[in-house]
Formats: sequence, structure tokens, C-alpha cells
Amino acid sequence: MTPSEALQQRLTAEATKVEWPVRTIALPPPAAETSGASSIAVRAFVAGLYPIIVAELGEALERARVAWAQAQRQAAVARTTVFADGGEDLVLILVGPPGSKMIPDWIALAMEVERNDLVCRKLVWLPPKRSADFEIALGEFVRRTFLSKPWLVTAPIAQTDLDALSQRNPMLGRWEEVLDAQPINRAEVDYDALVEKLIKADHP
Amino acid sequence: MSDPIYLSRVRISNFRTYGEDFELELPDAPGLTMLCGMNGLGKTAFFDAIEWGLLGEVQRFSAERLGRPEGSPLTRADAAPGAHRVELSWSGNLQVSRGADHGPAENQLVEILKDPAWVPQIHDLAVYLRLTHFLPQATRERFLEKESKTQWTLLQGPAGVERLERMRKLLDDTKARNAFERRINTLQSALDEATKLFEEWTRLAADHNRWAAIATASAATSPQELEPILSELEASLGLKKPPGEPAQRLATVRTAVEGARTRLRSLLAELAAHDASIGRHAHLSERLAALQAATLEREKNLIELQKSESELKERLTKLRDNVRGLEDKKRATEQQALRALAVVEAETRRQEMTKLRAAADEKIGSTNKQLAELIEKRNQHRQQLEHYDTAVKGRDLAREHLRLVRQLTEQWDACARQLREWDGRAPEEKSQKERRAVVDGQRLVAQKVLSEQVDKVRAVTERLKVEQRTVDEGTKALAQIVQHIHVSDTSCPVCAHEHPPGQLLQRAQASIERYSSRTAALLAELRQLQQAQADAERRLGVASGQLADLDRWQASRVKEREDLEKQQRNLLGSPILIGAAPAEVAGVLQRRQLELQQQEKHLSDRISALRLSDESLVTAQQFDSVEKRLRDEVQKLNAERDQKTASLQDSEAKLAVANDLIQAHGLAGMNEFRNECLRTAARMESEIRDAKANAEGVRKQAEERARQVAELKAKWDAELKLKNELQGEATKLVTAWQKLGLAGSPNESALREAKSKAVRDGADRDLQLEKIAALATGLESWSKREQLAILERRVAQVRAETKAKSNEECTQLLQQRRSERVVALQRARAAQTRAVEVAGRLMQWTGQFSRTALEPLSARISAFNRLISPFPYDFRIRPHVTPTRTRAEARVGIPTLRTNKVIDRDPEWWLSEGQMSAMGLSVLLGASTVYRWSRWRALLLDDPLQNTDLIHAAAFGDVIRSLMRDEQYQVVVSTHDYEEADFLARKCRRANLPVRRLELLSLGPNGVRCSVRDN
Repeated sequence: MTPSEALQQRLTAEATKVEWPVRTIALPPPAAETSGASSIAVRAFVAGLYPIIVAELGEALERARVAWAQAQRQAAVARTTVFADGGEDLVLILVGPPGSKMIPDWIALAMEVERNDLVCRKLVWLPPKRSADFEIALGEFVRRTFLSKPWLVTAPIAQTDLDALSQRNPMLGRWEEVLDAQPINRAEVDYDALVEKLIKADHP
Repeated sequence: MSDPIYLSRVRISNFRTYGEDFELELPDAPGLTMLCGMNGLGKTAFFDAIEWGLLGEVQRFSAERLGRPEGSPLTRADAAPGAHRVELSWSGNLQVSRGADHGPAENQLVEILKDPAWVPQIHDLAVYLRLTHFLPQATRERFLEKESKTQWTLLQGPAGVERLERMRKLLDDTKARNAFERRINTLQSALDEATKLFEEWTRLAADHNRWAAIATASAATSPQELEPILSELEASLGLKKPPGEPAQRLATVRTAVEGARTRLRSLLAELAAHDASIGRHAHLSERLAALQAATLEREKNLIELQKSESELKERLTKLRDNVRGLEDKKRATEQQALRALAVVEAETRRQEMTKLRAAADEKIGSTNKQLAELIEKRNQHRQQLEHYDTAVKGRDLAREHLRLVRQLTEQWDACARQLREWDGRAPEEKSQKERRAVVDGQRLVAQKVLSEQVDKVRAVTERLKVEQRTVDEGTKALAQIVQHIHVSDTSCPVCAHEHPPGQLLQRAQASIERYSSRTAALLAELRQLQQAQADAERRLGVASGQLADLDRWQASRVKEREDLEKQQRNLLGSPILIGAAPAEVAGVLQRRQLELQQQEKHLSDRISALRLSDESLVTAQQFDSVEKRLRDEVQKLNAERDQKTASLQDSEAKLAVANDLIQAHGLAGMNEFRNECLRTAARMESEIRDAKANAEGVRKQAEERARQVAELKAKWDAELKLKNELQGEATKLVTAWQKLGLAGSPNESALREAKSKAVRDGADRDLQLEKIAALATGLESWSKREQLAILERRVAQVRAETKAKSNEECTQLLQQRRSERVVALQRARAAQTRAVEVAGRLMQWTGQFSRTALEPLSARISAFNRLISPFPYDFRIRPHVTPTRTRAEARVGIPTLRTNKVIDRDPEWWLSEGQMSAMGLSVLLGASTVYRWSRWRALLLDDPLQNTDLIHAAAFGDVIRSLMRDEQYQVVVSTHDYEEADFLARKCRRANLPVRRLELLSLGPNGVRCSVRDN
């Protein structure tokens, strides 16, 4: 299974988990390249409200920018044609070659792509070298996407006193007044007097 | 969450920029409400109004500022002081109203807002609302204090962690501990002083009482009176006159007298002990002389007996040696007889085993011969079977090849037929290409039209913006003018033209209306252009769709041709057709089919010829059975033969061992030799019995002699011991007599005289001691009277100090003072212990808050931040608990590209304003979804996207839309960016979420002018 196939499968599974309908979409072929470059592998589908285009950046880093540009052009065409209604939610996911996850130049390129705001929102998945590690890496990736819903965690809801600590405290007794009366700046505190007051506070 | 509620209406009156009767209805369901407008029109004031309506305070204004004498900043400038009011309504007819002089009680609000499932009590609603509902505009209030120490105060401050931490530090830091130590040391010193004074006084009072008693109890003897008496005593005791005080000299004399008396008592005791032994002295001397004579006689007899005993022992030893020699000879003879018997038996067995082994060898040879014949027959049978199998396999292979050739022929024919059909559809392809060219032309036209429409819309939008600014400025200027024109004014303040009374104001208001209407035409034009643009977009979409369909058709046709050609190439690649041209394929396949049919027939004939009967198979089974039986038999015979061979070798070995006997007597004379040995052994047995009887007699004589010697020696030893004892006793008695200093040998009269003298001397010493004691008492009495005066002065001084009227009262007062100081010290120590304990509890408390509240929050914030921000930073709030401090600190993990490590940093130094803004939003979303305390699940976000880019805005839109859809959130957002508002509205519209937009237009005499519309 190629990384982009694994990615599509995982995204589909995640969408199904949150009961989003998923359907595959056929995209029009990409425009011909002037330099005779081969066209990139692209797959498209809709998960819930989100039209998603998955494209591979290829094996060679030096060709990755060309692939990015091709995918972005195809996303632009799709946005005005196939996804005319859901253009706001269109996401272009670009997939690096296996092992690119640990390569600094690929990471730098991914950060650049994700911060580019032309055409649509873009995310980059840099897969690990071994396909056995795809599952974990895809889990990390999904947590950065619209499919992640942090509020749906199964952990119990935190129920804690958010202001109770500011109330009067029976454990402190009369000491609370003495301590509250001290200057905020501790350099100004007369500790000998404070100790005297604390002792007296317990035996008025 | 049970029974959710939604804010359904907000009424604001005279609050900041809002006029007398502002009212906004909100969607009574999960959805989005947006406030749009330029700066200064009242977006933040809207949130302030909700905050004030709920809490009676606004976080960005201090309480002092709200209550200042010149009027609250919350009241609209034109309104009367304190006229501001806010009314909030939720679904389910829940409503609260607040004015300067009235407002809802906090418990009433808690009752409305709190989710019944939330267990902890809510004491301070402001903490909860600010933590989970409000996102203020000001960066300072979004948890983003620049000073890292004051970061996250929104979490720590209201929750009391900071205050408790401050208290803990006051109790537990070094200065506090030192102050406690100082205080305790001071109190301990005071207690020591009081204790010392009390003890001194107790001693003083006791001394005073005792000395007073002594001083008044007996007559005094002065040192002068004592001197002659002392000298006399010292002389009588033979003491030299020692230097020193009279008391010391008196003590020396008393010690000397007491020593002399003790020695006399010892002497008397020793004399009494010698009373009994004096009488025995004469008797002892007589007995010693008699013993001396008897001992000499006994010694002579003993020597004779010992000599006789030695002779008997020597004789016994010789007799025993003789018996042992005879026994050895007898054993050797018996051994020879046994060896002779073994030789006879071994020879007999050897002969028997030789015969049995020869018989076994013969039988093994016969069986092996049968086995070899059997194996030869079986090999012939197997060879015949192999020929048959080879023929069957060859025939099956020929049949399989024939099937493959027929299948290949069918596939080739089908592929050729499909290619002919594909060629037949060429006209249809031509027609589709022509249609595509037409549609592509339509698409280019549509694209051009769309581009023109977009340019036009942009141009009109620009014009509209310019016009809007002009209108706004004009409206604002006119509004200010109108505010200063009274209905009775006639002179225009702009052009100084005169107008009839009442018309000037009407004209000014009409001008405002005209300004407003100027934009209406432009808006209409814009809507038309937008419609035309939408039409062009639709046409472009249709053309693109058709083109895509045509391209798919063409691609499918090309792929079909490629598949067919690929299939043909695959068939040509078959081993049967290698090297064949496509035209030759049919002939090649036919030839190959004929060859294989002939081959199959030939092999079938051969199989018929070789076909074997079922008996052959049975014979094969018998071969195996007989072979197994014969092999088992050979194996068994070999084992038997080996056993016989081993037995034969054993017999030969035994004969080899007895080779010396065989050579001396021959195998035939071996039985005779054995009988001779047995006879000799019987004769020796008789001789041994006689020798043993003789030796036993001698042994008994020797034992009797030894017994006599022992008896005599015991008697002699006893007499010698008694003699030594008597001699020792006599010597001891003489020594003791001499030690007592008595002359001559011990006798009773001398002893009596010595005892009388000792008794007399003891009585003299007792009298001397009584005299010395009386003198000592007199001397002490004389000295105490002097010291008593000193003690009385000291007692008076202490009583004066304590102001006591009596010694008893003084004792009581000093004791009381000491007790008070003990109590003070105990209290200080208890306070010190309590301070440590309380500090520990406070530490535990704040630590627990960090764990239960901050840790889940930190994880949730981090998850939201990953969603909102494209930066791979791991953001978290980390409870920082150490033995000395507890605090929450914000940290950010920055991944490094080169080393691929994550470095931990303070966000203040690494993040931009935009990133910090996104994180502030993450913190609110995290808190809101972690602490689900309210059934009004709402987010009130004042300009949440300030300083952020489009990427953040898109992610933000995704997150709040999901929260509205999945978690039924009500979201209120303000922005001055209309495109941003449109973007959010479009996203919500796609999810069928209600969107209401409040557009703040301008400020008028009755507050902000605004319009409301639903998207």
C-alpha cells in the first residue's frame, strides 16, 4: 500500500468513525505541462463537509515544488468546477515519499507548504520509512486535521473547584487574616513581628 | 449535558456606545452570531455589556474606575449618570436584568447557568465565566502577560493558588523559619533564667532554714578552744601536727581513730576463728609420723607385683603371634582350593560355548543368503513399476499441454475479434473529438466572461468602499452638526445661509438620509454584477463538467486499445508462441496440437503394454514383509552369537588368571590338588584351637596380677595425699599464729590473753570518736552563725526583687513566673510546628489543584493548538511542583530541523503576537471543553482572529463550526474584517447552522446605528 493509499484509507476510516459520509470524486485531468513533466498521482474524495484532494509530492525533493504547483493548479480547477459549493472547505493534502519524515529539507518544505494560503488550506504528511510505522504517523497527522475533535476524548470530564481555594480556609483559622495582612512584596515583611502575631493569633 | 440553554436576546440601554433601546435577538439554538463594524462603534462594548450584565463588573475596568465620582465609563456619554442597563434572556424564559442600582444575586445566576451534573460548588461565578466563556480582545487579558511569572494568572489568581502560595512562602521560607527560631531561642533563654532563679531560691531557702537550725541548736566551740584538745588527740594517735583549718585537722584525727578501731575489730574476728584449730595441732604431728612408716612398706610390695605382671604380658604376646601365623597359612591353603575349583568350572564352560557359537554362525550364513535372494527379486519388481509410472506421467503431461494449446487458441481468436470491433468504432471517436473542441470553446468564453465579471465586481466593490467611507464621514459630520442644531435655529453653521424656522434641522436630517441612499444604487449594481458573476461561474462549471466527461470517454477508449494490445503481447510472450509472428500464430498452434495428440496416443499404448495385475502389488507387499522377517531373524541370531562369544571370552580370561596352577598341576590333576589343599586346612584348624586355649589361660593370670597392682597403688596414693594435707594444715596454723604477732608455737593461754587486750583497745577508740564528734558539732555551730547572716541578706534581696512578703510567697511567685515562660515556649514551638504543617498542606493543596485542574487542561489546550496553528509547536501548561514551590508555567516545545529534537522554551521568547493570539484562543477552547460546568455552552469571542493569518482563520472556522455542530455551542464573534465574516458565514451555511450578523454602521445621536441580517 502506497503512503497516499494508506492516508486515504485512514482519513476515510476516521470520517466513518464520526459518522461523516464519504464518497470518491473523479477529478478532471491536470493541464498539460510545458516541460513534458509527468503528471502527478491525485485522488479526491469528500468526507462530510470537506472536499479533500490527496496528491503525492514524488520521490525527489527537487521535483517536489513542481508537484506541489501541479496539485495546487488542479485544486484551483476543482474548486471552481467539481467543488464549486464547498470551496471554503477544500483541503489539499500533499504526501511526501517514505522516510521523508526525518529529513530536514522535507520538513522545511512541508512547513512552507502548510503556511501557503493560496487556493485552499494545505496539509503535508511526511511518512516514516517503514510502512509498519504508517499507522502511528497517520494518527499524529490526523490530530492536526479537521477530523480531530479534542473534545471527544473518553477521559472523564474534569470536575474541580476552580474558585474554592480562594475562599476562607478553616485549616488556617485566625492565621489567614494575619497572613493576608502582610505586604505583597515579601522583602517588606517583618518576619519577627509576623511570628509574634501568628503565636498570638492562636491564643488571643 | 442536561437541558441546554441559549442566549436568545440582549437588551442594552445607554451602555457605552449603545443608545436607549438597543435589542438583539440571537438564534435560540447552536449557531453563530457575528458583530461586524469598524473600530470604536461598540463591538467590544457589546461583550462588556454581557459581562457586566452577568457579573456586575467588567474585567478591563477596575472597580475604582467604574465607581469614580465623575461617572461610570459604562454609561453612554449623552445619558444621565448611572442610566446604563442590560437585560439578558435565555431560552426557557430565563432572564436577568442589571442596572446601576439593581442586579441579580449571584446564586440566582449560578442557578440559571450551572449544569446540574457539575458537582463542585460555585462560589465565584466570575472565575468560571472568564475561564470558559469570554475571550477578551486585549492581549494582556488572554493569559498573555509578558512577564513569565505573571502568566496564567487568570488560572492561578482566581483559584487562589497564588494567594495560598504566598501564604505558604510566608510560613515556610528561610526568613520565617529563622524568625521562629529566634523567637523560640529568646523564650528558651527567658525560661532558663526563670528556672535558674527559682532553683537558686529553693536552695537558698533550704540552706537558710538548715543553717538557722544548726546555728541555734548546740553550743559553739571556737577554733581557739579546740586547739589544745586537738593537739592532745593527735599526740595520742601518734600523728604529726598537720597544717590547715581546725575542722580539717579534726576530720583527719577522726579518720585515724576510725581506722584504728576497724583494725582492732578485724584482729578480734581472726583470733576467734583460730580457737578450734589450736587444739588439733598436737594430734596432727602424731598421725604424720605413723603415715610415714606405712608408706615405705607399701612401696616395696608394689614394685614386686609390677615385675610379675610384665612377665605374664610378654608370654601372652608370643602365644598370640603363633595363633596368627597358623591362621594365615590355613587361609592360603583354602584359597588355593577355591582357585582349583574355578579352573575346573571355567574349562567346562569354554568347551560348551565354543560349540554353541559355531552353530549360530552357521544359521546366520544361511539366513543372509535367503535375504540376498529376496532383495534381488524385489529390485527387479521395482524397476518394472518405475517404467509404468514414467509412461503414465508422460501421457498426463501431453494431455495438459494439449489443453493449454487449445485455451491459447481460443484467447488469441477472442483478442483478434475485439481488436476488429475497436477499429470499427473510429467514426464515433471522431465525432466526440469534434464535440470536445466545441465545449472547450464554450468554456474559454465562459472563463473570459467570468474574469470580466470578477473585475467589474471588484471595481464596484472598491467604489462602494470609497463611497461608504465618504458616506460614513459625511454622515458622522452631519450627525455632529445635527446634534448642535435646535429646531428653532435658522442659520446654517456650514454655509451661513438663513432658513425658515424648523426647516434647517429638517434639511440637515434629509441630507443624512441622502448620504445613506447614495450607497443603495451602488449596492443594487453590485448585486446585479454578483448575479452575473454567479451565472458565469455556473456556465464555466457546466462546460468544465462536460469536458471532463468527454475526456473520461476518450481516456477510456485509449485504455481499452492499450489493454487489448497488451493482452495480445502477453499471448505472444507464451513459450509456445515464442518467435512467432502474429500472422503465423494460428498455424503454429495447429501444428503443435497435432504433435501432442500423436504423443498422447503413443504413451497410452505403452501403458497398456506395461499394465500390471493386482497380484504384482500384492507381491510387492509380501517382499517387504519377508524381508522384514529375515532381517529381524538375522539381527536376533547376531545378538545370540555375540552373547556366546562374550561368555567364551570370560571363561578364557578366568583360565588365563589361573595359568600358574595349570602349569604346576595340569588341567587333569586339578581336582586332586584341590582335595589335598582341603585336607591340610582341616589339620591347621585343630592346631589353632589348641594355641588359643593356652593363650587364654595366660591372659587371665596377667589380668589378676594387674588388678592386684592397681589396688596396692590406690592405697599408697591415699596415704600419701593424707600425709600432705596434714602437713599443710600444720604449716598454715603456725603461719597464722606468727601473723597475729604471738610468740612461740600455737597454744590456748596465749590466745586468750591476746583477745582481752584487743577488747580493751576498742573501747578506748569509741570514747575518742564520741569526743571528736562533739568537738566537730561545736565548731560547725560556731561557723554557721557567721554564714547565716550572709544568707539572710541574700533572701531579703530576692524577696525585694519579687516583691514577696514572705519566703513562701516568693517561692510561689518565682514558680509562677517559670510556668508562664514554659507555656510561652510551648506555644511558640506549637506555632512553629503548625507553620511547617500548614505550609505542607498548602503545598499539597496547590499541587493537587495543579494535577486535577491544570494537567487535563494542558493536554486539551495542546490538542486545540495543534488544530488551529500550522506550527508544529507542542504547547502546554505545566504544573511545576517542587519541594519549595508550586506554580503553573507555560512552555512550548520547539522542534529543531537539523537534530530532530524538541527543545523546551518559554513561549514569550519564541512566539509571535499572532501565535500567542492563537494560543490564547486554544486556552479558552481547552478550558471550555474540559470544565463543562455550564448548561449555557457559549463562546463570546471578541476579535479572536486579531494578528492571525488566513491559515489560522480557516482552522478557527473549522473548530468553531465543529463545536457548534457536535457540542451545541452558541458562538458570538466580533470582527472588523467583512471578508472574514463572510467566510465564517459561508462555512456555517454549508453546515446548515443559523448565522445572524449585526453590522454596526455609525454613531448617531441615539447611540450606534446598526442593521441585523441572517445569512
